[in-house]
Amino acid sequence: MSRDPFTLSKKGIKRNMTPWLFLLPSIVILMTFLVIPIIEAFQWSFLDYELISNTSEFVGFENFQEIFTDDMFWMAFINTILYVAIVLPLNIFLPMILASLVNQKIRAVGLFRVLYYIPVVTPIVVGAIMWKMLYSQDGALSSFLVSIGIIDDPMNFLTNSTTALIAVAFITVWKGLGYYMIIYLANLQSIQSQLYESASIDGATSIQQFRKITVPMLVPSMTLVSILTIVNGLKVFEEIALTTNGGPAGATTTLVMYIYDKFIDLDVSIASAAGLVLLALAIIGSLIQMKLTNQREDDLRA
Amino acid sequence: MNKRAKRMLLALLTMVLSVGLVACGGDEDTSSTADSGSSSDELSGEVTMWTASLSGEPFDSYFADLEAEFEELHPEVDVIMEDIPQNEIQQKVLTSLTGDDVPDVVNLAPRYMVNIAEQGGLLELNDLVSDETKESYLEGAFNAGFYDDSLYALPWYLTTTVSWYNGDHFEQAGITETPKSMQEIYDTAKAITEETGNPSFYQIINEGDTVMEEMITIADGEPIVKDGKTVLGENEEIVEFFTLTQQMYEEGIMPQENAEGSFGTAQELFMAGNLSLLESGVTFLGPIESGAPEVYDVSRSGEPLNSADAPMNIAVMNFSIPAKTQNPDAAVALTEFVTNAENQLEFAKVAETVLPSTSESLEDDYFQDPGDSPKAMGMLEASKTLQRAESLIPPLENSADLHEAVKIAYVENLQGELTPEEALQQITEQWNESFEEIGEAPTF
Repeated sequence: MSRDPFTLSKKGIKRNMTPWLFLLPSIVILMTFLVIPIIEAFQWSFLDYELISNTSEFVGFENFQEIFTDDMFWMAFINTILYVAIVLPLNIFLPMILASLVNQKIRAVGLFRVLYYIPVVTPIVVGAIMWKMLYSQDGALSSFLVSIGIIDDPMNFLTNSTTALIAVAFITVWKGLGYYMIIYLANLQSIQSQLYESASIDGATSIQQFRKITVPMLVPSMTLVSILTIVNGLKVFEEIALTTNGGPAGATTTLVMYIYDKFIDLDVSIASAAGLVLLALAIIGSLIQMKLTNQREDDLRA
Repeated sequence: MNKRAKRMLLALLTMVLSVGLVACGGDEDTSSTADSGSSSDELSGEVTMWTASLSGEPFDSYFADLEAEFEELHPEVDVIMEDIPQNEIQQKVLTSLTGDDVPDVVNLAPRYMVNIAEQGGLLELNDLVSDETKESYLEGAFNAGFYDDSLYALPWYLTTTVSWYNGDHFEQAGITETPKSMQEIYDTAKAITEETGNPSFYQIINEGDTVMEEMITIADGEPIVKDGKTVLGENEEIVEFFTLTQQMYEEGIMPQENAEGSFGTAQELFMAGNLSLLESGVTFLGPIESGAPEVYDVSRSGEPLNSADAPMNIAVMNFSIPAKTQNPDAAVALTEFVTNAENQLEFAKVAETVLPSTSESLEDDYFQDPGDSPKAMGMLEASKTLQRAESLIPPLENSADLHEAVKIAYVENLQGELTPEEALQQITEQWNESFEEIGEAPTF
């Protein structure tokens, strides 16, 4: 008599349960701090919810309608996309170049690795003050650009509507540089040296080796860095709050700042609706990025 | 798996699930427990009071004395004073109000009070405060505690606008008087900038509220909103304000940092000697005294930069009582005690940069002859301004939207992205839309 494939022995159940038991703490934590809040935000976005009195009324899509007709929301939405668009290429390539440099057999390489990592551990408040001074009208950057004739008069890069978002984006890049460099460095050290040796014998220059060996081998790290950048970029808050507070005239207001302001004004339903838009944006962005990099990985394998 | 391992696993599962259930179980209706407090004549129990950014000396000693005095009057009451940094207090109050661990008395600015009162988070004080107490406060300050005809806060300390200027810079430019109109501000600031080579005038913007107050002052009694319809563009003085500030920014008379417009940036620039003239409360000079004594010594104060009888804004710091307080009687008694004339006078002396909200305190010699330090002279000017000061912006549900509309349009005008007319039109449209949305038709 054959054994029913859907009936598991006691031993089988135990064996199947074990991995789930190991995962259980993580599942509970994720449920508590991620899934349940998302479900609650989803609920609130369809209600006119009063947080303090804990009363609510079903309003359907009214909250979404309100945010989609709010100019400030669109300004924040566009700023967020622009912000990610500025930070993404810089975060992918600058740490990669740095990692390649500190992966060489040069003197004091450890010191360089530490120096590049310092921004990661520097409190953002300190970093923001430093960058504010650097960007000010009589700061070093303005003086330098005036001296080489790129700008005519000294300017404050954080209070100028055209430059403010780019200026803040550079703070984010500076802050993440060392962190992403470590990711690339770990990947670089797993590349077999024979590949470079063979390429050298074949007469490939350093730049050719970088383009044809290093970059393709770093695609998995690029995928990780780009997804982290997209997700972190979409939820940027501290750098902006500490340097421009969303100004001038909303030029650096991002979606998270918009959500924060609505929440502080006790418009939690509007904040939840905007939060769901942000979540959707993060999922779409990550999926596109994964699709693109997976395709690239497949091309390389072929 | 042996028995012991099974038991351990079961215990672990129970613990983990309990954490999850506790985290998900915050939806129970924990509405007002205000009526659970003591109603007997003799007060008892614990009462917690939160103040905003008043830690360190001399405030620690002042509050310790206050606490001891109140506990002596009411031996069964245990007072707990906690100070919360100003930039955290609103978040902390909101977090506490959604849970059960609420303070009994909290120091709130009126614009935060409105949001919380609107959702039923504050105790209605009309019937809990005696007429005698109500009459002890200055009318303008007391009115700032009302929202929707209900009293939600008692006034504590105040500040009104005065002008601050760098005496050295004025002397260098040969100017002996502070300006009294927008055109005079422009002429004065231009002369100083030409002399010192630095920007000289700063308009504090903050969240947009200070520009809004400035517009009401400039309108000099003419409403800028009539029955929910904004009439800003019709006021020539307001158009001139936008025109000349744009011109000053373009000509470098106002610093580029003014696009940020915060109070803190104004202090930093003034402290560094890179600013000569602005309007602000007396608190402005506080950090300058310790941070830049040489600038403090040449700091001078004067009446606000507009006509002598124009209405001026009064900034009030209130005390409110959360609706969830477990001890409303003691909370009300403590609020009345802290804001009484005697304690407010003492507080004003300790703080040196604020005014009391009780009429009796203001009659004290301290306010008639405060001394000749720059801070004391500022206090004297502020107490003169107090005669015509009131809360210029009524507490409205959509205050934050109104402020934001002003901030954005004002900065866009400053940077030349909008003409003054376009900026005022933009504010008009957004304000009218906002009034329609909330279904209110205020006049102010």
